[in-house]
Amino acid sequence: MDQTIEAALGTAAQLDRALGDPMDERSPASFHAAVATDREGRFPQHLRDAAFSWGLAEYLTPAASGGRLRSLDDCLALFRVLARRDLTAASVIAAGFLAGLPVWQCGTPAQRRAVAALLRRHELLGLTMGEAEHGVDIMADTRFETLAGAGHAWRLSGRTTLAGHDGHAAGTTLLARTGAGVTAFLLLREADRGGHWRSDPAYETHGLRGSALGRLTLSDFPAGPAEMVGPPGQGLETTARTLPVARLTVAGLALGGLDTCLRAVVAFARSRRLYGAPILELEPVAVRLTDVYADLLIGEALCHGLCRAARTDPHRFPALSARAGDLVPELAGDGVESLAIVLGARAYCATEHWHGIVEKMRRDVAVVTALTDSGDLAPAAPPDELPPDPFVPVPPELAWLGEPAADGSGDGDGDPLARARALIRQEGLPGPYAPRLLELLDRLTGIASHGGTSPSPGDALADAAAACASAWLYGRRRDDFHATGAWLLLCLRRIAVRLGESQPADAGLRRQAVDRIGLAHDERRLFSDIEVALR
Amino acid sequence: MNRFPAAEELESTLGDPHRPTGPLTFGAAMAGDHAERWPHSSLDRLRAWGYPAHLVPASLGGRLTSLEELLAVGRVVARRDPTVAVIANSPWASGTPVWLAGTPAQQREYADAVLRGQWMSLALTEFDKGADLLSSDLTARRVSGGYVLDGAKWVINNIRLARFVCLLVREPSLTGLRSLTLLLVDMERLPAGSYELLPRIHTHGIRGADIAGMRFLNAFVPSSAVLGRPGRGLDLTIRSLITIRTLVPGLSLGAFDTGLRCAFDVLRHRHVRQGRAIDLPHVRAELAAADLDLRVAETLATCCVRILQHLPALAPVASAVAKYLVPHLAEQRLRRLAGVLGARYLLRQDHWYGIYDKLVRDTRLFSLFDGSEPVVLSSLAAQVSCLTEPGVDPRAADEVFQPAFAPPPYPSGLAALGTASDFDPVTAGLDGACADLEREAGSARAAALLRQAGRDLLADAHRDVDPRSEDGLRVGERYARTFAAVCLARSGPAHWRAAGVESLLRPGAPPRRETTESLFLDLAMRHAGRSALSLSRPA
Ligand SMILES: Cc1cc2nc3c(=O)[nH]c(=O)nc-3n(C[C@H](O)[C@H](O)[C@H](O)COP(=O)(O)OP(=O)(O)OC[C@H]3O[C@@H](n4cnc5c(N)ncnc54)[C@H](O)[C@@H]3O)c2cc1C
Repeated sequence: MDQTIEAALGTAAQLDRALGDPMDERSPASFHAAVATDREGRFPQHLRDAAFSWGLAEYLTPAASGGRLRSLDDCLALFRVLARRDLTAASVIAAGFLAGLPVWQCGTPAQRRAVAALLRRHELLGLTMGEAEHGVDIMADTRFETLAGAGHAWRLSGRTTLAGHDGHAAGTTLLARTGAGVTAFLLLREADRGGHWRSDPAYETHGLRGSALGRLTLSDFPAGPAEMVGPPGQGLETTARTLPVARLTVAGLALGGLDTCLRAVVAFARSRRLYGAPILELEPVAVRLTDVYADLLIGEALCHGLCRAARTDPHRFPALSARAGDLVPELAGDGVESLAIVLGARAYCATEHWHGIVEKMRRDVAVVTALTDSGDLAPAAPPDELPPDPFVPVPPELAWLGEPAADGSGDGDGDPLARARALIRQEGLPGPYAPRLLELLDRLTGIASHGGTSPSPGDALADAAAACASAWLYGRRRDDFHATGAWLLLCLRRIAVRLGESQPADAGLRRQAVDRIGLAHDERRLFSDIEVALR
Repeated sequence: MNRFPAAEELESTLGDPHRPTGPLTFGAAMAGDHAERWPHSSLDRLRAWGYPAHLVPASLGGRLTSLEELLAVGRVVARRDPTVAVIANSPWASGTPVWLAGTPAQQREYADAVLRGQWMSLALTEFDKGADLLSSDLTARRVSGGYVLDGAKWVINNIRLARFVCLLVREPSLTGLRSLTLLLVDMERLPAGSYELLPRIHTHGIRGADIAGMRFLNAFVPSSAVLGRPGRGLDLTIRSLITIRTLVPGLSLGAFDTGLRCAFDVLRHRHVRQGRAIDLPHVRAELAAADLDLRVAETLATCCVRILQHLPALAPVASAVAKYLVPHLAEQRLRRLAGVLGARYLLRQDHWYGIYDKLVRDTRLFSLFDGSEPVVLSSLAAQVSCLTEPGVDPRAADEVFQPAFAPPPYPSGLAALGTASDFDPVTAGLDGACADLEREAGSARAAALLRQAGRDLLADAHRDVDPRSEDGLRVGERYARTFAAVCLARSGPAHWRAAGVESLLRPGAPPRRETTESLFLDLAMRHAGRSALSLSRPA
């Protein structure tokens, strides 16, 4: 947590307010519209238009290229609030953003200008998802056959799958097998003068129905050095650099989806009466909501930790993202499933509670990770298999990442778990939670420093615990909930449970959490550690 | 010897589900799902084969004597299209109060209607009342010669098509636990204008089914419609739900079966950097773990359905165990395998007509209806004290675990079915089951886990647990898993019995590598055949 993050969330809150009340059926950015377009298999153009009218294009364009995107924090926050409305529109925009990353990272000034210009025209790139016949395995597929010509001129042919509002993609970055190996290209549809670019009707998909994957067929599409992104033969390395950012983006989308589900289910749990009282008074219902709330806070802390790493320690960012990035969509997926149990029959009915948005989110959250599916199929690529230092050199190519934080984050150096422990030991905490917290911090510090060289499933959770400790250290004076350590305890207990260690019931902590959930709901704030007012 | 000739015959009659078109093919299932269309041709095909007769007890002119066979028959249909299975089995399920407590005349009329292929409903749920049946708003006022009904039911399967509706009503003149009555309402005799069919409710899964509501407006129903005794509707409803809950697992098993097979096939053809996806150790481990869960679920479903017929006094526990664990295992595994499938899973028209996603959506219903997860777990927590009953003889359950099982014909044994179990001979056999495991090589860890689970559960049984608390649900889950582990230890085949017990008692922990590899190879071999992965429990 730091000021950059707070500023990014502030910007995102502006976007959210500009989009209007999602519960207002007349609003083009409403839940009603999201579900209606989904049922009809249409793309939610209205939401996309509304976001672009607000000025989203500027935030998808790095400052170095004349836009306002200064850090990954901005992307994370913006995708999060967009996703809370409709994961379909948010994913398409995210796909366009990810497709542009190789250009911002390794493209020529002319290419950057071209991508910035198309964004300003409210157009998006499509994201290639590998050759249909080979899943999305970028390493094994032969993609585009090339006819080498003089002076690096190629004609690209072949077929691939494009994620994004199919048929409307203004271009794409893709890999083609050239004489020198696999090379990355930026192809713009407007450059097609003779039917070399063809998009076939979108595939029907299960989640993200209206966003769709489409099939792109290129026949002798001319490409030369002006289209090449990065050096010839370095295409795989070029696109692999985008993977850490893609993971973070997907995490932001998942957090947004989960936020809406929690909001919808809280409203339900307060109004639905069973056995003479609102079901929120049934302990198992309250526990589910509290757990999901904690997961959201954990996911947020982890994402913000990754954003910070990208700013302050870009060399470590890819490895950290590989270790922990997938945990957030996993938390969100599990969270939505748990919330659906609370909704009962209403989760199954397409037009019930909040227009059935929970079920749409449930489907979409489950598939949103496909945007990061590299076809690798390994649970998580070990850090040393990642391309070396994807974010190096930082300036000038990556100046948009921003300068290392000098904003007084208070995070300091060293392991945040150890620092939290030392601080609690030395200063104590008001209220009853210090002993329990120390116990958990000891336990989790042990896991975090297990020291094994091979990645283990506990790594992501250890990182999550560290991120929570770091967020708490930064915000511990914010209010009583933080000052007493309740916030940290809530998160660390959940992490311990995910590590297989059951935790004793704590009715007091749960009550406080339920109150906070209710307050954030009533005051229309994001379920976040930072106060972000929504519409 | 084949124990389920009807299921085998149905399977071979229906033919290859991969044909591009035709009833009960994957293609037809997906087309119907997409269009939210009632599956006419598939249901006609089943009727032509004689499916309705398998839903009616032999004593009433049908062919139903063994619920284990009904489970297998339902599974055959569900593996092709769970939506069709839900609809096709609904005349049996809706009729459970009739089979349990109807008068001979009621049973005769209902059975004849089912045999003619008419549809039926069991209407318990109301818009504002879910599991809290006692607070039902639909009232039945007593008048001369019968009742006058007012109020509405919501999310009811087949209600707009039903000939008979088993309807739960509240009698305002009665109070407390004896205020509910079940009525067998003949829709053909209900005066026109005294009811209103509410619009169809669109659902995310089983999209071809006709789910709707119905409102009664001063509707007269004769006293002869009462099922069982007036005021005893809650008791009869619970006993009916116990029966239904025991059979729901068949639907989950069918969907799970196809989902696993489909995932296996996709991954077999998918190429990754190192070769075929299926050759990656973690993919093999996921598939093997899914197959282990399928076997565990199948064994458990079989034991519980046998308990219903052989030991109905234990069915209140066994039905809750089966209704919780089998749909849960299926749902969780399909979701996990979807992650392994990755982006391929997104494509609707792609593999096997895109059936995988439909299976994911359809199976979610099974953990939700006829008693949701929290409801069945809290019912287990409410019964856990039966474990403190002294002197329970585990041999009472022996027959359930034998390869050959010949129960009294359904529903004759079910008179002894109550609403809660007072003793549990299955869990009483835990020590014996552990001793058996300990005698087997490589099963010591499973035995130790089971012993510990038994000790923990017994401690729970001596505590005062609020069934609706979080603690209550945990106790319910522990009971379910321990009960299931004993069933498995006593009847699962030796080569995966210990692994199954471990997976039940340590959910989420991966099976051991040796087990994984042997399970995977076995799955690959069975996959080579195109029939369901297993239709009957191996002896
Ligand atoms: C497609 C479909 C078809 C259906 N068909 C029929 C039908 O034919 N006939 C029919 O009568 N009904 C039918 N139902 C209704 C189904 O059986 C209901 O879902 C069920 O009655 C539960 O009601 P509910 O989902 O509204 O949840 P509720 O019972 O209202 O529960 C709400 C919440 O309270 C929690 N809760 C409830 N009880 C407890 C407890 N004891 N302990 C802890 N937590 C608890 C639940 O988990 C849930 O979170 C159908 C439903 C669907 C979706």
